[in-house]
Amino acid sequence: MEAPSPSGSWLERQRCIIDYSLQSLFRRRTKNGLILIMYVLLIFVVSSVFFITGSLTVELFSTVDELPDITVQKLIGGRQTSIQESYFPAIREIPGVGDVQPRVWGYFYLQELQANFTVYGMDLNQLEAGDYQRIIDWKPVPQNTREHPDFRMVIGEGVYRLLKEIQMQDSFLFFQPNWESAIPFDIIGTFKSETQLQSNDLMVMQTEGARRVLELKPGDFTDLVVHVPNPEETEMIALKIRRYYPELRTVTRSQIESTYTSAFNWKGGFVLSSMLVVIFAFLVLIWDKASGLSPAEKKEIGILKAIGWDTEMILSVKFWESFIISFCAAICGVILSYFYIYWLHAPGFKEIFIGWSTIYPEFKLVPDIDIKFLLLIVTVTVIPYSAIAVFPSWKAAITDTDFILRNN
Amino acid sequence: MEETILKTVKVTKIYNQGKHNEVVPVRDASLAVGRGMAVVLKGPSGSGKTTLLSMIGCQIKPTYGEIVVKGKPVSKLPEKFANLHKRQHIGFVFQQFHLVPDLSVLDNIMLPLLPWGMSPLERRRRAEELLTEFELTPRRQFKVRDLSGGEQQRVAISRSLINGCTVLLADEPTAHLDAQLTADFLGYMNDLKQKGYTILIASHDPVVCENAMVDRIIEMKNGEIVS
Repeated sequence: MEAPSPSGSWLERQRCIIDYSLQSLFRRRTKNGLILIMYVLLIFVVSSVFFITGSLTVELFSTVDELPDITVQKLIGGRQTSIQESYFPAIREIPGVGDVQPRVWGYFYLQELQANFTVYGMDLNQLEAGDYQRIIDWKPVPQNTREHPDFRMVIGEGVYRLLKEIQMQDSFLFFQPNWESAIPFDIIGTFKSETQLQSNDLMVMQTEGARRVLELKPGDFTDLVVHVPNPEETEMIALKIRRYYPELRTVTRSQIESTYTSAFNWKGGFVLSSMLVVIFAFLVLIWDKASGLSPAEKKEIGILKAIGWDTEMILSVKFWESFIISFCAAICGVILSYFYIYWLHAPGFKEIFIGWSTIYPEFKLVPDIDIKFLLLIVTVTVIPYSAIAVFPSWKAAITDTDFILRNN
Repeated sequence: MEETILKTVKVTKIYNQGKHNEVVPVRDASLAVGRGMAVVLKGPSGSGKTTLLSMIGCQIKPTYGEIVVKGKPVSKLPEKFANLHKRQHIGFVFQQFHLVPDLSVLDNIMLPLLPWGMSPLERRRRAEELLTEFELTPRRQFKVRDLSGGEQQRVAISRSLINGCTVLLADEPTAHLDAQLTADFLGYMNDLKQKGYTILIASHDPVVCENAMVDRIIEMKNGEIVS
C-alpha cells in the first residue's frame, strides 16, 4: 500500500478530528448525556433568571418616564393617610418646583373574581389630550358618556381580559358594602402592552369618580405628585418638603427605580441560590471530568499516541468533545429558556419576580435579549469547561505511551 | 549485500537512572536488518525484546545509542517528528493488539490516517483494500470487542499497514493464538515479506523462530544481544 502524502490542509485535519470527537462522544453517550442534561439545566436556570429580570427591567424603564419626580404622602402614627389640599400652595412655593398635582388612588377588591385592582383618579380630559394618548388604545365612546364625565375609566389589559369574562368590558358596576346602589363606569380605553408592568391591574378614572369608589372625603387626596423640571434639584426639594412638614414623606423617582431594580436583582439572586443543588451537581460532574480520565479513556489516548498521533491532535479531539457538549448545552439551555419565558410565560417562575400586586391579572413578558448576556453565558460556561476537560487529557498525552499502555 | 533498512547502534535503555530501583532492560544492543528481511528477536521473558522493539518503533526513547531507520537517525527526534516518522515508516502490532474496543473494525483500521487529514473516501478505500486482504470484510462494522483473538490480530495488522509503512514490528504476535491461528499469522507475514516488507518479530515461540520465512534469529538474554 502506498504511503499517504502529507497534503491534508489544517481544515481537513480539523474535520477528521471533529468526526472522531463526535464518534467519541457518542461512544460514551451515557456519561456525556448526563453531563449535557445537567449543563442544559444549569444554563436554562441562569438564562431564565436573566431573561425575566431583563424583560421586567425593560418593562419598568419603558414606563419610568411617566413616574412623578417626587410623590408626597402624609403619615399619622406611622401609617399613610389622606392628604389635604392645604399643602399644595406651600409646596408649590418651594423654589425649583414646577407643578404640584394631587392624586387619588387605592385598591378595589372584586370578590367575584378574587382580584385586586389599582384605582387611580386624574383628569381624564388631560389624558385624552396629552402625551398619554400614545399609550392608550381608545375605544368608541358611548353616546351617554359625556353626561357622566366622572364615571369613565381607562383600564389595563389584564383588567380588560378579566372583565370580559363577566361581560363587563364596556361598562363596569362598582359597589361598596355601605352604598345603596351600584355605580356604572364606562370603559373608554385600555393601556397598551408596553406599559403592562404598571398598567396591567390599573383602572384610571376621573378624580371625583375615584374618590367615590375609594370612599375618600371631598377635598382629600391619597398623595401629591411634585414635578421638578431640573432633575439635579429633585433630592434637595424632597429634603425641603420633609423639613418644612415632618409629617410628610417623600418618594423620588430614582428611589422607585432603584427599589424595583434591587427587588428584581434580589429575587434573581434568590432564585439562583435556590438552584444551588443543580449548580453543585454540575460542579461535581465537572470535577469528575477534570480530576481524571477513566482507564479506558487513558488507554485510548495511549493507543492514539502509539499509532503516531501528536499530543496536539489528541488535545484537539478532547477540546472539540468538550466544546461540542458545552456549546450545545449553551444553545439548548438558552433556547429552552426563551421558549419557557416568552412562549409559556414562565409558569411557576414569573410569580416570584412579579409579586402579589399583579398576581391575578395576566401579564405577558416582552422579549429582551442582550447580546452581552449571550456572550457572558458562552464565556462563563463553554470556555472554562472546555479548558478544564482538556487538562486531564493533556496529562495523559504527555505521559510515556508505553507506561500508559502497560498500566491501563 | 541487501540495503540495511534498520540499524541499532549500542542502544541502551535505563529506567529510574541513578535511583535505587534502576533497571536496565536493554544494554548496548546493536543489530542491522536488511530490506525485505524477516528477523526474529528471540529470548525468554524479561530479556528485553519488547523494550528494544519499542525503541525501534519510536514508542520509547533509548537512554543511549542510536537507531537508524532508512538511513535516518530517529532516536533523538522531537516528539512531533518521531510521530511523523512512526506514521510514515513503522507499522507496529502490539502483543495486546491495543485496539479501541468500542470502535468498529473499519474505524480502528482507519485511525492512523486521521492525522493526515485524508478525505473520508480515500480513508475508506485504503481500509477496504486491507479488509479484503485480511478477510475481514464481513466483520467491518463489528465492534472490535466482539471479535475473536485471531480476528483482532488481523485488525491490528491491517491498522499497522494502512499508512503504507515499510517496516513492520510485531511484539509476541502468537502469544495468544492457537496453532492454527499461529500458522495463519505466519502465512500473512510470509505474504507481506514477499511484497517487500521488512519484518521484525519479538517472540519466544519456537514455531515462529523455526518458520521457513524467517531469515535470521537474533537472540537476547538479560537485555543483551547474545547471538
